[in-house]
Amino acid sequence: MTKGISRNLSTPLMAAIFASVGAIVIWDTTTYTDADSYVFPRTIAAVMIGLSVLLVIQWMLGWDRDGEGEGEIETDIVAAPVAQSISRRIALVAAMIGAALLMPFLGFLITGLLAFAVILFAAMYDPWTPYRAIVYPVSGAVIVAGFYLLFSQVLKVPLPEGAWPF
Amino acid sequence: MAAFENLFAAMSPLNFLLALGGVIAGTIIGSLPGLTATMAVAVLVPITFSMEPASALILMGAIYTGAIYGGAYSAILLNTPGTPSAIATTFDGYPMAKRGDGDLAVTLACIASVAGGLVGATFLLVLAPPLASVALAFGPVEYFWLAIFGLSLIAALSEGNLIKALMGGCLGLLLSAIGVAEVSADIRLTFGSQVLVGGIETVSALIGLYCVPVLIDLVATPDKHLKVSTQSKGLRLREALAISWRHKFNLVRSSIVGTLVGILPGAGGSIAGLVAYSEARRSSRNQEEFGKGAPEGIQATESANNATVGGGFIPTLVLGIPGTPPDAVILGALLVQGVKVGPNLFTSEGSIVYTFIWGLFLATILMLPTGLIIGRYAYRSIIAIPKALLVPTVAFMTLIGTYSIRNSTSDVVIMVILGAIGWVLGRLGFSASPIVLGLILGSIAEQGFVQAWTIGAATEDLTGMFFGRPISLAIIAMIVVSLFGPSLVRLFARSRTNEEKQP
Repeated sequence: MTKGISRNLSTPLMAAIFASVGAIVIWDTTTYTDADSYVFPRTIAAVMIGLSVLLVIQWMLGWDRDGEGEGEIETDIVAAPVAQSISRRIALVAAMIGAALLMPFLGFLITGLLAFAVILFAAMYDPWTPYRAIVYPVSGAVIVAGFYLLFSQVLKVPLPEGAWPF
Repeated sequence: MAAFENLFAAMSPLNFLLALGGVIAGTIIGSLPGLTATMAVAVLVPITFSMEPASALILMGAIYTGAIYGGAYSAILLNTPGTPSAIATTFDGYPMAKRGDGDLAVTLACIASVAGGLVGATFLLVLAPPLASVALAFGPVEYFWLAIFGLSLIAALSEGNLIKALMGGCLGLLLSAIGVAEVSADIRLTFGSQVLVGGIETVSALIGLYCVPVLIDLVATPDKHLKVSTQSKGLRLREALAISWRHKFNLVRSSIVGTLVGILPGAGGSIAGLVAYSEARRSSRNQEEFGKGAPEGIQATESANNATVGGGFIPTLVLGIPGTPPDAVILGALLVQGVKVGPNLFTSEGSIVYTFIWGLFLATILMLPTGLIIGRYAYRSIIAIPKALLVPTVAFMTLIGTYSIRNSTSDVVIMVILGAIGWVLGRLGFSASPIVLGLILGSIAEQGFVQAWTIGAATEDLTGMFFGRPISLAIIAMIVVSLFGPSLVRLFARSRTNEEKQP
């Protein structure tokens, strides 16, 4: 399905998005006071717009064959699975962003434990047995506390303690 | 005779323990995503202030070399480079781990790292002063073209769609420009957001773009994260040694590439790994295997990035110009100790320098047993942990690792958002590697570009500045070959096949 979309719509759409990003960058550079500040981003943005145009031309000519090149390196993304859960993906990303936003208020330890719990549920496909119901949360707490102590006490990283009134 | 004295000094019980401890600490720190070799050295450098200069150098060199190797673990087992130097290790390391050969990949990486480290240290011992002069021949414009060469390599390696890869590289370069401009202090591309004023931290972006997409896909299915072999195969040392011996020229060539790139200040292990990987692939008979789990790919990147350790020390010690970011930290520590680096260091402080170089040999050799043992436990741990625990653990490590770089929650938010964007882009054929490399090389490229632009404009010879210098022209030629060479070779091969088919 992704392949079909890629062939028909996504390529010109992505080219338009990249070209728009380039245009926004060039517009932003007009407010800079010094040539040293704008000469590089403006040049790169212009190159990116040019490449976007080339991509559209390539697509129109039917030469955009993602992943069909010889010796293609498939490195960055895991192969698309058959049955995919969108809700679990959203839960993962939301938990990570939520943890970052709540850190200053709840402290790193609490947000770390909460994020760990949410992501544990998101990644849990095995049935919950009494053993897993005890071992998994306890293991999670030990891992979070262990890393917290390593970073805060050994490496002396000033992790957020939270805005607790006590 | 003096050489033996320095060798024995390096082998003293204290220096032996420092080298061993440094390698172990560096390997563990380097294996954690977010903790780079620079951070490993920086965190542990205060310990060295009370030591003799040679012992301090041995400890710092051991930490550095261990951290560079440690980056391979998470690159192979989690598709997340522990350090930027291990970016290219993910190309073949993760596919090997997914098919159940993670143990072999880790052992191969260890052997290659040791080989690369020894070659780099040998160059440091024998050829330091003459090689340091190579670095002085590089001006701003050469550094700009060198950064573009690095990008062209990664774009060419993602040859599914060259234009998309180049667009990704441009995006990375633009991301590197976000925040306060270094020279003029203009605030760029923040659009009023305070979160972006500090810019995008490179390692945070690296963690987000590599690690978060993997996590997003892992939670989406009940499949196991790595294929588990039906029976334990141990270290697979004999198999790895046989492969390493079969591809010994690849090991030596990649190590020399790594040393030479390491000599260039600022270039570092990420470019070295990519250049060596590209060359290994170009010269291999099994080109189609690269990116799908080719042992030669791991050999090339790991030997090259560890060779940058010795290579990077050459300009650091001879010229006082740090070859790589960890070298800058080590240089600072040496200055604190009152050691004056420079061309006379090898004569005025010869005993310190040569004791250190022998210590670097010792640390590199010690990396073989320690690396194999730690690697075996890392692999067994990763495959034994249930996915329901592995995913939140890795996610938590990305959060704490990213936060610890600049003590910034903004970096954490940016890391996750970049990861989500990277996942979407990956689905649409834009791989993460060019974006990450653009971000890493952005500052080198911009600095070189702006300086060359300024000089060219002042002398009213912009064309000559960018395209008229011999080294620049050589690098431009390499860029053209790396971008269009593979396509031309394929076209040529295809036309020959067609001709042969026709009667």
